[in-house]
Amino acid sequence: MRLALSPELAAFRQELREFFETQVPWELREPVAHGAPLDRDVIVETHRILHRAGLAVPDWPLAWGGRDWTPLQHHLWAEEMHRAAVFPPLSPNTGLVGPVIAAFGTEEQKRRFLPPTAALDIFWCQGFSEPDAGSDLAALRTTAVRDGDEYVVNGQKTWTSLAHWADWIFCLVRTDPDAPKRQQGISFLLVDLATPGITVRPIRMIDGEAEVNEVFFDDVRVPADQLVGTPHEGWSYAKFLLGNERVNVAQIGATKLRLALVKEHALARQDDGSQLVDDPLLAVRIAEAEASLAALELTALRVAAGSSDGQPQPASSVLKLQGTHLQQLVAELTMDLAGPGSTATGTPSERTGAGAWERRSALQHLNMRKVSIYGGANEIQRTIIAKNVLGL
Amino acid sequence: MDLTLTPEQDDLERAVTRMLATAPDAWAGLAEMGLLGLGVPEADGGAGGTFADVFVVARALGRAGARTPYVEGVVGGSLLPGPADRLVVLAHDEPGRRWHPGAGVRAEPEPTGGTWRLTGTKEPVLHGAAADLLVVSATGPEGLGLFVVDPADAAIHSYLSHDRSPTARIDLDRTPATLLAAPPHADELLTAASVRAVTAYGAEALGAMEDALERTVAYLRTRHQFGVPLASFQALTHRAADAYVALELARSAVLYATACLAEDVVDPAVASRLKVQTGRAGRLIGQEAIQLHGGIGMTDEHAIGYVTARLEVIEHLWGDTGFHLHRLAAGLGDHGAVELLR
Ligand SMILES: Cc1cc2nc3c(=O)[nH]c(=O)nc-3n(C[C@H](O)[C@H](O)[C@H](O)COP(=O)(O)OP(=O)(O)OC[C@H]3O[C@@H](n4cnc5c(N)ncnc54)[C@H](O)[C@@H]3O)c2cc1C
Repeated sequence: MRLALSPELAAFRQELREFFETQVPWELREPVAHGAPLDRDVIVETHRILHRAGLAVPDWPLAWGGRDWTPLQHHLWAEEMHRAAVFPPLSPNTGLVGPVIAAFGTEEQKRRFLPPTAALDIFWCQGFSEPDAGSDLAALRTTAVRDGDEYVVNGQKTWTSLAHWADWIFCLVRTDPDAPKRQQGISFLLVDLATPGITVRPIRMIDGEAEVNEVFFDDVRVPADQLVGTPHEGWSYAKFLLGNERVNVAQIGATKLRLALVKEHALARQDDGSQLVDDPLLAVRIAEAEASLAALELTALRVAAGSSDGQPQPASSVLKLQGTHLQQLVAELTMDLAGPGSTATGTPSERTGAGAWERRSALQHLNMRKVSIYGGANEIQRTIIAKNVLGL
Repeated sequence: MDLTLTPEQDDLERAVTRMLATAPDAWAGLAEMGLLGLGVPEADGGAGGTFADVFVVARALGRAGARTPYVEGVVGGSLLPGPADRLVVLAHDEPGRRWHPGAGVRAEPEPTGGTWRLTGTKEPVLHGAAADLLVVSATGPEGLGLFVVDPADAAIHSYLSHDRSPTARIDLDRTPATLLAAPPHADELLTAASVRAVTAYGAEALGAMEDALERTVAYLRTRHQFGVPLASFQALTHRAADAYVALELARSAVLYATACLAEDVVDPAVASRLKVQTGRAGRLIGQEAIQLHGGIGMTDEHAIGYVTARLEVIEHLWGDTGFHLHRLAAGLGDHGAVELLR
């Protein structure tokens, strides 16, 4: 048992802190710090700055740009990044498809896709869910039929985050409709969104934004060498990916940043000299959120959660459940802190900048309801814990 | 930061667990193994070791459901270091009072030449009747002081609490005492003791929660209703999953507080955060343990209910979750984000 950071690790942390605060311009960090909606440029420019410094894919294999870091170093990297309000490297690239290609792709696929994926020269989106295949993902119906050197894809994906900004989509498709089990007929396919036959249609959400899309495939011809690994093995790759996705959506560092902001607002002196924390109930809620978040952060430090040896880790479900719970809790707190100000949403142009946090707060809260649904709904995480951890 | 136990500590855990499964008297067994006075430097007559060793023993006791004065001794030994086999118990709580470390103590000291006499009532004092010495709090004109009392001089009424812990009411009527700490030092001493107490009880609660969840999960697998095991009902398995999440979060908080004390970082906020986690988790796991057992969970014979009882006893000692939340709330302005890595 050891509490203090070694001098080497303290120096490592200091170096990262300086990098994030001085090498990533404030214009790229400001919208993150204020919880404002992001545009594509912020994501891409930030990612590329990190990539040039070797800080975009530290958890990848060494041969593909990863760093030989300990889990604690990875934690410090994430923590410092969030503390400085740096938008993290694009997770579909670095956390989802990249590790799958690195673990299961052919050598040729690794050479072709991993460098541009790490550099964000390809902006990826995730095409798993379908209208009739949500939690029950293996019910997916989008088909890919082999025709010479190509697969012909037909079907529909939905809830595809940021497909309107993406260059490519990684999909689960049914390649063997006659397989004895539904899970056995699925493959993992990489598709250029510029391929003829693809239509991307935005879905307007309750916060007024359109961050997700429907993606339609109509006789889309995809070169066969874009099928990752082995045909019909896609389900096991997907499970590996979903294990990592759970860890990604826990967002502990981002919640820490949001909670620190809540405190800033709560402790700020009002015109009459009062503070919002004078309300004991509000103060206690903040204190409890801090205690819960600290326990979660320690848990993340304590357990290995990223998929390893081709398998998801059960701890990933604990992080997903509690991480999303706390994201929602902090969003609620922010809204409650704003009070009637949360209803004064104003117009979109009035909702930008640090001063407009109250105007954004209810929209942010509504948006955050998604986190217990995506990345494997929280009910599904409970089932995984009951089954895989408790043996029930 | 590293929150793992050493191989030696894992061995210790196994040895204590083995002893608790076989020894007729757990307290004598701990003494025989030389585990009393752990965490107290050898120079002060203790057994050496760090707070991580205390964690290991307390958790094993919690798992086994043993009712020993172990944690009371750890706290007493930190207030009044001395030989490992001397049990010092703090008598601080008073009837009709909610927990407050500094204020509200009604017992009064009265100076008599070089020594003191104390008058008041202390209850509940866990394991008070087993104490070799009592440390008693009392409020004088200048504030709270701590005094040492020979239990032979006090009227001690002993009974078993709802969790079957030996518990005492101690009546002091101009009882002779010596001064251990005068105000304001007594407050500081009590605050430091509370950090140790909450952490050591937290370790015991962790063991008790592990035991409760394991037994509940086993029961869901074996008990059949409607022709199927209870484990086939998702309404139940999801509740077990929530209990598991709460347990793991509590484990993290307890391990961290232990690591702090092992490096002599005595931070009341760390203890309060631990208390909030173990308080919430303890109540959830304790109540679910009874509920998911059904009627049998209510019985004296089955005994799962005594784990629930024990968790409630721990919750109400050294400030409950509400007290610690208020303390954390009062300190919100002291820091930005909570920094765990030091
Ligand atoms: C904002 C947002 C972004 C998303 N981005 C993407 C993306 O980029 N790519 C992608 O592929 N998908 C994405 N998704 C889809 C997401 O993964 C699905 O919404 C999710 O898997 C749940 O599926 P569903 O919506 O069909 O709900 P359903 O599966 O129909 O679930 C409805 C409710 O029933 C519960 N439920 C379902 N099955 C069970 C069961 N067996 N036991 C107990 N309860 C159950 C669920 O937990 C939920 O509460 C996104 C979703 C949202 C909201």
